[in-house]
Amino acid sequence: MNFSKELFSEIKPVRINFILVIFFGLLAAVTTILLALSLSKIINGVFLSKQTLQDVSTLIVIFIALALVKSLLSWCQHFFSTRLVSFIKKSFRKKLLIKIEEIGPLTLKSERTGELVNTLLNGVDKLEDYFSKFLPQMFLSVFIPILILVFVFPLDWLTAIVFIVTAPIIPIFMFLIGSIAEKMNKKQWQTLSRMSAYFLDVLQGLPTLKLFNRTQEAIDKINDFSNLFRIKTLNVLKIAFLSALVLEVTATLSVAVIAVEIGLRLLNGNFVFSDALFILIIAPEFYLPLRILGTTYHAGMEGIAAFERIKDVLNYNTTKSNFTSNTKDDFTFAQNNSIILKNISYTYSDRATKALDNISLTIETNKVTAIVGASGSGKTTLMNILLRFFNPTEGNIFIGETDLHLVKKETWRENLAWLPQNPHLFSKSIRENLQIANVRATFEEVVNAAKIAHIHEFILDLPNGYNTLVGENGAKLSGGEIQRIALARAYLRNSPLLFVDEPTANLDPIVEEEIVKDMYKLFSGKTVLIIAHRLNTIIKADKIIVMKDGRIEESGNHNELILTNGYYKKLLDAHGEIIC
Amino acid sequence: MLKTFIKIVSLGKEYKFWMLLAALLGFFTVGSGIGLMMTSSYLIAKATMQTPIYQLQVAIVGVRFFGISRGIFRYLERYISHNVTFKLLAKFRVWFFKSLIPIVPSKTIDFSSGDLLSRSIEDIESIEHVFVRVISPPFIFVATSLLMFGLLSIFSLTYSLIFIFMFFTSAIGIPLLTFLLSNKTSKTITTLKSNLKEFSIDNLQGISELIFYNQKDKWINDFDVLNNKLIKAQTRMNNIQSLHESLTGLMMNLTVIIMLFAAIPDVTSGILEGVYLSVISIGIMASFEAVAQIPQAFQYLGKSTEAGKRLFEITETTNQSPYQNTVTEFSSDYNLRLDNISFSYNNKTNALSNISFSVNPGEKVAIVGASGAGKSTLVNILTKLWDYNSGDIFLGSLNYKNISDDRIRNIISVVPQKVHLFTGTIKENLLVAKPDATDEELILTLSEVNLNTFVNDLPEKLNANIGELGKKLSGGESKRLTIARALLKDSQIIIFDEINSHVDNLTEKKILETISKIKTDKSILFITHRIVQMEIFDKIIVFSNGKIVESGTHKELLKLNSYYKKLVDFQNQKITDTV
Repeated sequence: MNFSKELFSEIKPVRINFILVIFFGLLAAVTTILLALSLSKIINGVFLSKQTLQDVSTLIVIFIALALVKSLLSWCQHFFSTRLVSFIKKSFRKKLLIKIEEIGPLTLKSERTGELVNTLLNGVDKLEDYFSKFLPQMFLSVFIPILILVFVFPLDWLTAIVFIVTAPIIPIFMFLIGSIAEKMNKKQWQTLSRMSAYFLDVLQGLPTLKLFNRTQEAIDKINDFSNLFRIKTLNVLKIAFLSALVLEVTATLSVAVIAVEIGLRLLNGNFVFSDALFILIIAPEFYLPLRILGTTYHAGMEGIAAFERIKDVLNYNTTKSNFTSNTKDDFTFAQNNSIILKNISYTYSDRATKALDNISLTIETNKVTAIVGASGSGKTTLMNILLRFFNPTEGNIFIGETDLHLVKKETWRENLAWLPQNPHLFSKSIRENLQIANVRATFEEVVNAAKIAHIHEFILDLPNGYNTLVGENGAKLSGGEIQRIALARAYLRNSPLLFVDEPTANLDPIVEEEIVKDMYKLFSGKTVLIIAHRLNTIIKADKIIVMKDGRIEESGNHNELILTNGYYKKLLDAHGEIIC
Repeated sequence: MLKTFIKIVSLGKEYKFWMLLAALLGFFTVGSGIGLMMTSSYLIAKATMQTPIYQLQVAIVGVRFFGISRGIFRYLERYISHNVTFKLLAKFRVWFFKSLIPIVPSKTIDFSSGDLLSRSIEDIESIEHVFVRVISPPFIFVATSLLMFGLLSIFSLTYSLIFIFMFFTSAIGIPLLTFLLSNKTSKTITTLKSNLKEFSIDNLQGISELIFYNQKDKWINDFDVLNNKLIKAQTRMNNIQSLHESLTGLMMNLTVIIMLFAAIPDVTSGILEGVYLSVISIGIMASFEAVAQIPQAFQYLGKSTEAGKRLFEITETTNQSPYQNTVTEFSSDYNLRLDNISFSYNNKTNALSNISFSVNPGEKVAIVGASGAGKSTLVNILTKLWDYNSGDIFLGSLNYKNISDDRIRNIISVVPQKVHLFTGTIKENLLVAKPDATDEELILTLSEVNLNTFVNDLPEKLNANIGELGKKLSGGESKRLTIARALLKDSQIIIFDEINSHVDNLTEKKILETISKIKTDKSILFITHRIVQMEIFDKIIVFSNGKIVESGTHKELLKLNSYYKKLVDFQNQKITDTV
């Protein structure tokens, strides 16, 4: 059935909580038995011993007290299962968050964000019923029937035998029919998800269908598909429902058998009425836990499915690195230190070929170094390694004499300013979005940076100036404005090193021209590493690193490289050819 | 809430017979349970009185009958209610699709995100359960209360009234109590959930910045704070919900004991036969099965009306064209002329202002400009997916406003920027454009876009499956297949919308070759931000910020110190993305 050892082991830290859930569930069952006992005593007294209301008043008080205690106990059972669930949810979200952070920025492309958030929030929520309903019920549906047997056996061994014989029939049949049905069911779930996928397909293609005047056919097809699906599924369900039939019939028929069998013995006078009534009242309770288990089956299935998705994320293969000791936190980038890369290689965990293959280069201080190459040549990977978003699989980086791996990542980054290609603005105020670059900056410094980045006037025009929230209810910024905020962040950083991934966003040419000019202003007096896309930028660079398939193909300045007549020249020529 | 609920229910009213049948079967299931327990207790009580066995035969038969019938009724009920549910699902899907047709692509709804659509699919699946989970339980409850009322009134009307009072108090009072207790909490949960979602998306999208600026610990902390708040609220909610089960059980026991209070003196005074004391008590216990489903029904009512509200919000977006489709006769004059067209989204700044130009039959016209210049808006207006705010468009001598949408879409075909291929075969995708096209025709069209050899090399040729949304094809292949689809449609005007963005040089070259070869009797409108091989066009219109800034041939435009020239220079500046 839906029992997953892995999931079960998740409750280990809150074992006691789980035991309490079972404990209160069992206590509630005990009061149910006592309730049945006292009720049968009351009725027996009035019916056979001709007792009056007063005669049975003590029993009635006991009955009411038991009823109150029972509802309190069952509430306690739920209370602890809720507590258990809270813990499980917190622990899974925490694990997922840590993993997501470990997966890091590189693999978290925007298209996967939605899916990840869905797993993090809804996926974890879907575990709720598994832990609060299905799992405790699995235990209770074993213990409660045993408990009832303990009470029934001394009273009537014949009924006890009916219980013992019929009880296993239910799980056995559920299993037998269930396993056949499950196979068919699985197939059917596939059809169902294919149905949903088809529906999504037509919905997304609706504009296309509309342009071809073909919507009516799609309507017919949705209808036909749905009906076909309905007929097929019902054929499967016919069998799947048999397990419910067996469950129901076994439970009701054995009550019927017990009633008749006891009735006949009562006739012969060798049975006591109050015992008979007690057994009759308690008989449905004997089968109830198993029936509840049946209804929570679906919750169990959903929980396992959600767990699979969570596991997919948790088991995501992140590249392991041999470098663990980055403890040095008293590092500052000195002006005369160059950055030396020695035999750097990098392989993504899900790919066979090396993204970077034996890269060695020196980035000199106070110079502009540009990286060029086709997309996929390893430019971004190289920059990400220098930003220390991940460690190289092989090779070393030295800052002057210091091995970069010995320096704490955070300390290293404090020496950097970074202009990413697609900067992200958080849905906070503009001011917070700027200050993220330098938490110690005063408001004046923030305004100053905004002025240099030519975004100050724009911000002042916003409804709440620097306190305007970015996003839905605040300012919707254009691509150019976002680039300028990123520029202001870089100014605020005020660091000796600058890493740039030159923007290629589809901006209006005139706007882009201005932004790039402002970007150049940042370069002065800094060591700059830039992934370059514009001819002007490349020509300006002191040194150009030309990359191809993860290797450095050539390097030098523009004139030198043109003279060499190599890959760089080819890149430029190919570029020129397609332009009219 | 009620209004939405009624709207949902009325969508499925054609299946009311099946719904009624399923609900009746559900009632029979509960009824059989009551019958089984009552006859059983009657049997043992009578047996205790040493009643002759022949007098017990009826009871024994009753016990056996109810013992079997309950299972069978349950089985039939599940079968039929699933049947209804699936029928409703089909119905709701068709309904949703049909309501979308006039409003897609809408100005207010972003259909590019699959998010909204998959959400809608979930919503549809949630309202499909409205019958089984929301309508059926109260029906079963009411039927059961009538049954018990009848049965108890055989003994005394007082019993019936006591029962009805307790029964309704349980079914209405308990959900009402928990609703009042949890109303605020459930609102808090909704808010916190959406906050947490927005917060997570925002920060995951900016995770590079978070790590770089050493903010990730703060982020995880903030997440924890929000998450803990949510879980606390959810815990509170769960604790309130747990009251349902506890209180329903309590009410059942109280009903039994109150009934005994009324009945015991009757037994003592001889009004009621002692045998029935157990029959009544056990019957009451069995009848509470009908109450157990009620709280859940209330919860689903909330959920499904929420889902319904979201769906109706989409389907009730009005996008009625204010124009009359009066023209029925057409000339073969396909001269397209725009006269002072302006358009704005939701009354914000103009996406297009005062656009005027014409495309003569057989002319190849390029529209260039940076992204955001309004080019794609133009496509939606020309295909009548949106209505323009002012100005006129003429097709020959006919005003656009008077031509039906279908007619326009027969004359104009579009190769959209976002390729949409349907899951299926190459042939199926082509036949969307022309259902009665022969295989020869298809191959001929494929050769026009240089896809014939590619298709020929496939083992299944035209019947090759291209995977989910055409994912088995490369970017260039799927673009060319889309072009073939538009060519096959055999319309007089073809619009190409940014089809050469995001493709490599070689593919771009091939695409442009294909276009230059298209038969001269067709007018072409080529929309692009890439200025490549512009010589093949008879006229180039340059857009900037929703306005036409220049027009002319490639050579004419280059001579001037033009915006066009700037665009070209700017493009020449970029190096690596074109390689």
